[in-house]
Formats: sequence, C-alpha cells, structure tokens
Amino acid sequence: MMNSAWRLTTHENGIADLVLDLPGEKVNKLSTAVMEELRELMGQLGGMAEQIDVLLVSSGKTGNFIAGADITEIRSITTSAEAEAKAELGQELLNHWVELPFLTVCLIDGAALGGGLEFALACDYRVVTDSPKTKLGFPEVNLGIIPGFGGTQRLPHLVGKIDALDLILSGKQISGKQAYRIGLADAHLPQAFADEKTREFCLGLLTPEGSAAAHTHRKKARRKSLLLECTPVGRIIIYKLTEVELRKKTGGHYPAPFAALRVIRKTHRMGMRAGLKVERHEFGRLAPKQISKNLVELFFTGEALKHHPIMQGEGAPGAIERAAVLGAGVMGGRIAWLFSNKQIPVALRDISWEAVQQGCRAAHSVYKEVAKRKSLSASEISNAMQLITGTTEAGALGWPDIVIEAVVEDLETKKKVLSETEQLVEPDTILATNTSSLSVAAMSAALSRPEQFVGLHFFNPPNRMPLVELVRGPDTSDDTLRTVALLARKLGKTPILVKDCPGFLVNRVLMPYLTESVALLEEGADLRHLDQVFKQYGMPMGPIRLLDEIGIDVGSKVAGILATAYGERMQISPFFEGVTQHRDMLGKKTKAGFYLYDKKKPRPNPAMQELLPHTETPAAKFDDEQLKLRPLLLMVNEAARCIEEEVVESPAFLDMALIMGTGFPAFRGGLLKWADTYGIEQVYTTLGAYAEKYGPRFAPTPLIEELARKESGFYGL
Amino acid sequence: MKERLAIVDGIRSPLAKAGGELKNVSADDLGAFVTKHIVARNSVDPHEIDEVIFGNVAQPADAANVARVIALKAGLPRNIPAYTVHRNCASGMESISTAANKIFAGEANIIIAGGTESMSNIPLLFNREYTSFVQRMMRAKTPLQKMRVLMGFRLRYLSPIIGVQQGLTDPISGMIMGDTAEVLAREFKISRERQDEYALLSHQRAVAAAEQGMLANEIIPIPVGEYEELLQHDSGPRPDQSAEALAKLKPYFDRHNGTVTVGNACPLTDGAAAVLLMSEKEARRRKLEPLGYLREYAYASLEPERMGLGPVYATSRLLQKAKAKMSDFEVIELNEAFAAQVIANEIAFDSEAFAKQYLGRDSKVGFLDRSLLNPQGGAIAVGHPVGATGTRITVHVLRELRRTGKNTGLATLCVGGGQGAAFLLEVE
Repeated sequence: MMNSAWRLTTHENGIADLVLDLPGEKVNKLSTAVMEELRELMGQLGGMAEQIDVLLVSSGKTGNFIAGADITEIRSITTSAEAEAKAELGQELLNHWVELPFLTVCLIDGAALGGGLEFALACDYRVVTDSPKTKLGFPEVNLGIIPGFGGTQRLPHLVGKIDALDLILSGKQISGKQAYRIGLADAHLPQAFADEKTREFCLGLLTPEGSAAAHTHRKKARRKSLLLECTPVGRIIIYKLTEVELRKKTGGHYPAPFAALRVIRKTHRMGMRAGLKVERHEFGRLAPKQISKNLVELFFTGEALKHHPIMQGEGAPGAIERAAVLGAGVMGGRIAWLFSNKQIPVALRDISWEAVQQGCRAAHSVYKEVAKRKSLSASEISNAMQLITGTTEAGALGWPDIVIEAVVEDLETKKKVLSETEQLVEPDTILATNTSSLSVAAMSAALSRPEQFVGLHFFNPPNRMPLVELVRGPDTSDDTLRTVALLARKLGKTPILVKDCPGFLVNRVLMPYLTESVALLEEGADLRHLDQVFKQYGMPMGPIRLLDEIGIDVGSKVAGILATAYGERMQISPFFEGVTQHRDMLGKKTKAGFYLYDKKKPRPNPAMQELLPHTETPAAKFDDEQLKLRPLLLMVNEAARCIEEEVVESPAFLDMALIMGTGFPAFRGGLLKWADTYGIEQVYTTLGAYAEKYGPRFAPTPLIEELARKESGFYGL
Repeated sequence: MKERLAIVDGIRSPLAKAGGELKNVSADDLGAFVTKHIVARNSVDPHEIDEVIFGNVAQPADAANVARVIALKAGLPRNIPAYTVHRNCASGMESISTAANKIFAGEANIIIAGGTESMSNIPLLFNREYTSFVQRMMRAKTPLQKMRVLMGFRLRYLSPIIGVQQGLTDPISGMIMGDTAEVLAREFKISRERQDEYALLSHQRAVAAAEQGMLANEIIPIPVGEYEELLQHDSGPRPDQSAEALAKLKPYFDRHNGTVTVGNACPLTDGAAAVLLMSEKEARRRKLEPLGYLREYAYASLEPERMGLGPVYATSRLLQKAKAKMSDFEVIELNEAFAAQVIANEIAFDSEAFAKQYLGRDSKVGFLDRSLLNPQGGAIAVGHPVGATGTRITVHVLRELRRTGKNTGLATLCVGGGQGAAFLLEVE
C-alpha cells in the first residue's frame, strides 16, 4: 500500500513491530480509513503465529500515541442508527484484535485518548513512559458522548469500577505514573530507555516469571477497590455516591456521564458481547443529540482559536521572561499570580505599600485556594510568591518584557501611568492595558511607541476565567500581537481578538443581560425566582447574584460607560444608578447587596427590597419563559450588532468568548448557537413583540431581520 | 585597591529580633527578598549579572550554599553562578570585598553581593553521644543487635546543643562573645553605668532616625505571615527605653561580677541586605549614578578573647593602606556588638600607648568623635543579624553621607574569633 498508516516489521527474536504513523498528520487518529486498513492487516497477522510471539504496537509521532477517533466523523453523525453502526464497526475490529494468536503489547509514549485508549485496552499489555506528554483518558464526555469502542467494558474489567468511573465520567487525563498505579498500565518506564526496556518487557512476558510479575501488579493495583466492588451493597454505594457527585458537578445539564454510569452499572456481570451492545446503544442515543453537536462544535472552535493566524508569524516570537503589573488591586494581584504560577518573575507596583501588600495577599490567597484542590507544599507556595516583587517605585519594575496596566478605570490616569512607564522601560518592552471598558486607541495616542501597545483584558477572577480579550490598537504591530497572544496561551488563557469598542465584546454583550435583569426586578420580579430561572438555564449563577459578585458599584460604572457610548438601548435606570450611593450595599464584598451574605446561604436583602420602586406588583405575573427571554434576547440582539460591526471574527468565537468569559453554559453551545437552536424567526418575532411592549431596546437588528428572512442562522453566516 | 568599586545601589529588609516578626522567614528567603528588590530597582539586565555572592554565618542546613538558593529564589536567570562567603560577623563585608577582587581581576563585571541571617532559625542540635547512638542503631542488623544498642541509651543523650549559643562561642578560647565583652570592660575599666548610658543613646538615636524617616530609602518593607501584614521599620528600637530600666537588668554572662546585660548588648536578629556592584569605570560607561564607592578595605586579627577590639586593628591597617587619617571621616559606623566593646574601641582609637603596644604605630589611630559615630543608633537598638550587618553598615554609611551632603565615611566591625574589618567609603 502506498500511503500506509500502519507499518509492520518482524524480527528474529519473535517480537514484531507495528507502528502507526498517519501520513500527513501531526497526530494519529482512528479514522474509518485507518481502521479499515488495520482490518486488512489483521487478516495477514492472523496467519503469522509462527513468526510472531509478541506484537509491539507503537506510534511514529512524537508525543502522541493515538489522539482518539476522528472528531469530524462524530460531527457528521445525524442518526442513532448511524452512530451505533459506527461504534459496532470499531467494537468488532477490536474484538478481532483481542483474538490475535500472539501477545499484543502497546507502548504509550504520548497521548492515548478516547478511541486510542480503547485500542490500547484491547491489547494484552500496556507500557507507558514517564514523559509529561504521556496522557491517558476518555475525553468523550466533554463532547457529549461516551466511549463507543468497548471502553466502558474493558476499563472497569481491568482497573475496577471506582477508577474506571472516575476516568470515564470526568473526562480527565492521567499521567503514565497514575495509569501504572491504578493498573491501567503494566509497566512505567523512563522515556529515555523506552525502546530497550519495552523490548525487555516483551521478552520477559514469554517467560513464566515475567508474565506472572505483570499479573501480580494488576492484582495489587485493584486490591484497594475490591472490598467495595465485590459486594452488591458496596456497588450500590459506589453508584449512588458517583451519581450525587455527578449531579452536583453538572447541574444535571450534561447527560453523557450519566449515560456512562448507566452503562457500567447495567453491564455488570454481562458478557462482553452483550455489554458492547448496551454501550453502543447509549452511544447511539447521545451522538446525534444537540448537546453533543454543541460540544463538538466548541471543540472545533477551540482548535481554531488554538491555531489562530495571530499566533503564527515570521521568526521567533518575543519571549516574556520577566513581567510587571501596575496596580495591585485584587485584579492586579491575581494577574501577578498568573505569572508567578508559570515561574515568570513579576513586579507588582502600586503607589502605597499597603496597596502592594493587598495585591500580594490576593496572589497568595489564590495559591491557598489552589492548595485545597491539588497538592502544593508550603515551600512551593513560598517560592512562587517570592517571584512577585512588590514595589512602590515607578522605576523598580525589574527589566520587564511586558508591563500590564491594571490601575483604576480612568482614562487620564491610565494614559499618565502608561506614558510614564514607557519612559522607564527598555525600548522593546511591550505595554498592555487590562481596561474593561476604555478606549485602547485613546491610550495608544498618549504613547510614543504605540506599535508595542495592546489591550489585554482578563476576566475576574483571572486565575479561573480562561478568556482574555486581545484588543488591537490602531498601531499595534503583528509581532506585538503575536507575542502577547502566545503569552496569554502560556498563562493558560485563550486569547480572542476583539475590536476596540466600549466594553469590547463580552462586557458589551453581558451588560444588557444584567440591566434587563435589574429592570425585571424593578417591575416586581422576585430576585430568587429570576436567579433560579437562569441557574436552570445553565448559568453558573443567576444575573442578580452575578451583580453582587461583580460589585454593584463596578457594574453600575461600566453600565454608565456603555450607556454613554451606545445611547438609549443601554440606558440604565435611575434606581440602578442610585443604589451605588449606599456604600454598605455594594455586593458580596460588603457582605450585602441584592442578597445578604452574613450567613452560609445568601438570602435576599430586605434593605434592597425597600429601595426597589415597584415592590407592590405581584411576582406571579412573570412566568419563567418571560424572565428568561427578556435578558437573553436582549443579549442576542447586542451580540448580533457585534457580528455586524465585526467586533469579533465569527459567531463561533463570540460564543466561545461568552462561555470562557462569563461561564455561559457550554452545553448550549453558546449564546448565538442557542439563538439558532431556539429558531432565528422566533428570535426575530419575539424581539419585535418585546420592542412594542417594553421599548425600542428590543428592536431586532438588521442582521437578525435578514437571517430570519433567509431562514438561516448565525452559524449559517 | 587600584580602582574604586562602585556600589550602585544598596537596600535592606527591616530588622526584627529573633523570634519576632520575621521568625518564619528563612535566611534564604530574606536574601531572595533583598536580591529581587535590588534587581527590580536598577536598570541592569539580569542576564548581565555575572555572580551572586552572599555572606551568611549560620549556614542553614536546608539551604547549602545559601547564595545559590537566594539567586534561584529571587528569580534570577538560572545560568548566573553564586557562592557563599563566611567571615563571621564580617561576612556581609566579605561579600563586597570578594566581589571587588573578582571585578578588578577581570573575572566579573557586575555582581550582586549581600548578607543574610535568620537567627530565629538556627536549630537545636543533637549532641555527639546521641548522634553516635543513632549511627549504631542504623548499623545494627538483627533484632538482638538492635536490642543491645537500645539498652545503651541514656537520658542525657537528649540534651540538645543550642546552635546559636555554640555559634557565638569561640572554640579556641572557649568564650562566648559576651565574655569577650567582659574582658574588654575589665581591660579598659568600663563601668556598667557607662555601658548603659551608651545603650540608651543608641536607642534614642535609632528611634529619632525612624521617626524622621531617615531610613526610608534604605529599608524595603517586607510582608510577614500570610501577607496580612507589612513590616515597615526595624522592630528593635524602643521609644520608651529608660536608663532606669537598663539599670535594673542582671548581668547576663557573668552573673556575679559582670557588667554586660542583654540591655547593653545587641540582640539576636533576623534580616538581610544587598548591594549592586561594578567597577567605577563600568558605572560611568553606563551613565549610572552610584550610591557611592568603596575606596579601600582592610581586615586584621587579634586574640580571640579580645575580638571586640577588631575595629581599631582593622582601621589602623585601612588608614595605612589608603594613606588616610581619622579626621577624614565624616560619618562612622562601628558596629555595636556590645556597648563595652564600642567604648573600649573609643579608648583604644584615642590611645597612643595602645597604638604603640599593639598596633606598631608611633601615634594613636585617631579620635572617634561620638557625634559622628553611629548617628542613627546601632546594633544595640536595631539588632545584629550577623551575616547581614556588614552590608547594612556599608549601605548606611553611604546613605548617611548622601543625606548630609558629606563625602567620606568609615564602616568597621569586630568579628568573632578575633578579627576586625574596615571599609573606606566615598560618595563623590
């Protein structure tokens, strides 16, 4: 075969090598074509029992074993029957693979995910390396589906139910060492000697001692979970606890992990063939569903962002070895944390030592938070904190390659700080502003090297929110943009390029949602009811809780800026403006806002209820649908404007930005995806009706009108 | 020295009594703190730094070659080498004179030097008997052998060696530093009252300096605990210190006939200081305006039990080397290990007989003017983090010269084991 993906070599010693090296690709994928080729090869292998004692499968790609099935194939699935057939094809293939008349061993030195791991599970033995790139996992649930090539059957059988549920339901990826510990791998080898040691392992398997040792390890690894798993009561406990945990984590919005749990539960003690049938049935149910389609779409959007043209360019990108942050507020402190967490020394400057200390404290509290979730020793924290240098001197920024300004949101102050800094740093230092609502162009005008200036807007809390809005100023150079985009990636963020307009993308789209929610309160809606409706919709918290979290003063200030910029449609009510006079009711930071935060569970703040103008209107007149649609559709309308004005490149990027910047529910695929799913005509007519009833802010934009007329959708653009 | 060494910048942490505000900050973290600040404050590309040299006395067991640990923790590029120097209380000064030698030998261009000490973290040690017991236990293979070793255990094995006490004891004379101060008090007939009077002056001067913000440029505030507080000033100086309170204290080292108390001696202290160094030529080439210059240095030694007189020995040699005289100095820092020791030096500096008998000079070294001596108080009030003090007084002399518009100063100190160190410093 000409462009063969599989390469078979036999050796005198009985070990044959089978290398998968997909031509023209960076990673190996189990596409239909690759599997078809394997099927043909297996026909040949079946008759080679004489020459082969052990078949060693490895990958020709560095840092990758098999990345999984081809996701474009999953995207194209439209019916359950089609999905089931696809799964069955893979299942059958691997069933034949298991029956090969010699031992099969795979060497995993890189990612073995999804279908790739299912293939590895069908081998008799798995050898993993200690390379940091070696990752094993089932990311299927992240795409709204479950493993469909026997993963739900072979994994529990090999490592026990507890570890299998943990892996399959969470979608997480584990290291080679962890895989060895739970018995998923039979040997854990240093990457430098992987080849020699794997061959030794293979030859060892041919001796009674070697094969006994491998099996002893498997048994030992399983021992801890056996006690619970071998009794019916124990199993019920496992399933119940898993389900409770799952409900808490997903809010019940993601069906895939529940389906995986169902399959594993149902197929206990079932034979392989019957089990596989249950598995592919559930797979078939999930794959054509909207949720899976949404999540798959987001996967591709993520890939597009990862390989976005702004990250490409001629020559080596500027390296960021040292950084500085101006403004040691909570935001500045946490941005400093991002650097320190990646071992990049960072200066943190403010005008008073008290402010500097608060900023350092903000960074330190992020470490303390992290330490609760994963193992982080006191000395690791102290060493990382040592990389943050607090200072009050403008000139003591420590030779930074980038300076990020996060001072008070006031244009004149920012201009002054930036131009002052520009004089003090080296000529090749990049300056960035973390403004959330001010004009990057206006700041750029104050600088003598505007080509090295860029907007880099982090979302609060920056240690958790994966989005940064990357704002190109009028003179920003491509090199600057690329260096900063790559830095954002290094800091674990996804940069999305947006236009320099007030509120940029996310705040501009989010603000109508918040103001409309406040308007609903003023009309007499119950705040808990309103928040509940959006929690059910899938938001991490309702809009009113979110306002308390942001801070009512901050929210109102940004709303004011946007109102000035966009006029009537963003006008905020006098009530909302007035609330900020009450300095003791600014939200969670003052322990009181729309809610009171004095006890464990927040409860409505009676003092705030007093301030609301129309408390006498009965709450019952608002149904769930209305509460949901008014804020949502107003957001869609603003989002459509952003698409019209090319604030962001595509509806898919807009959706991703809202998901990563605000926690908009991913299973909905994003705001515009939701609008498409809801029906664009429906969006258009409802907006029209609301415009009549509640005011011109709801008047549908020309884009929505056009899409409705064409019976298309945002994603048809 | 053929050329002057430019001390481009110098800063320090606030000093805190051992067991106080900085008790949980290790010597390496203190050193990293001042190092990262000296880097942040100066327009020198960190990649251009050739070496990091730190002085440290207690040498923490968990940070061997503490200078390297400091360089790494401070976030300096990893290819910058670092080493630690030890000349007891002069370790901070040794880091600077070693750097000078390296720079003028053409082996380095830019060096960060400094001193650090966390006397809070000097450990208690197991004694030799217990150590040997543990070794025997580890060698024992069979249960019977183990049993036999175990039977040999004695309670006295558990009595610890106090590391800090041992560190402050001269192994040759067997005297702890306080005892050497008593030796000087007797040799020069220095009464308890004169010592207390000097200690009070030290506190009064240190308190006034802090109140008037004279140290603001020198001290970088350090966050303490879990970043909930900031230590901005030295915690040692006592605004309410009175002569009566000092008089009430019992002699500490010689309970019966002694004169040295914890009130007229310097306390155990935590702190660090750092300087950025290069040749004067290099500083000029870079158009920098250095804090000041080291023109000459000298070290000298004497009997361990009279170690407190180190400054007069070292200064005598310094003056000869630099062809200078005492009246050239406009600011003098003579480290206050003990009030008795400072006064003994005052007498010796001004004594022709002493100069003839001990220093081989025809004339006295020169008068030590108390109005020029330790004008912002000294170690009795602010403390003596042994490895860091040499750097601190060097920086302080330069900053005080700048503040008062003067030019020439002396930094000198006594060194446990019987040595003295002296720096001739200039601003212009």
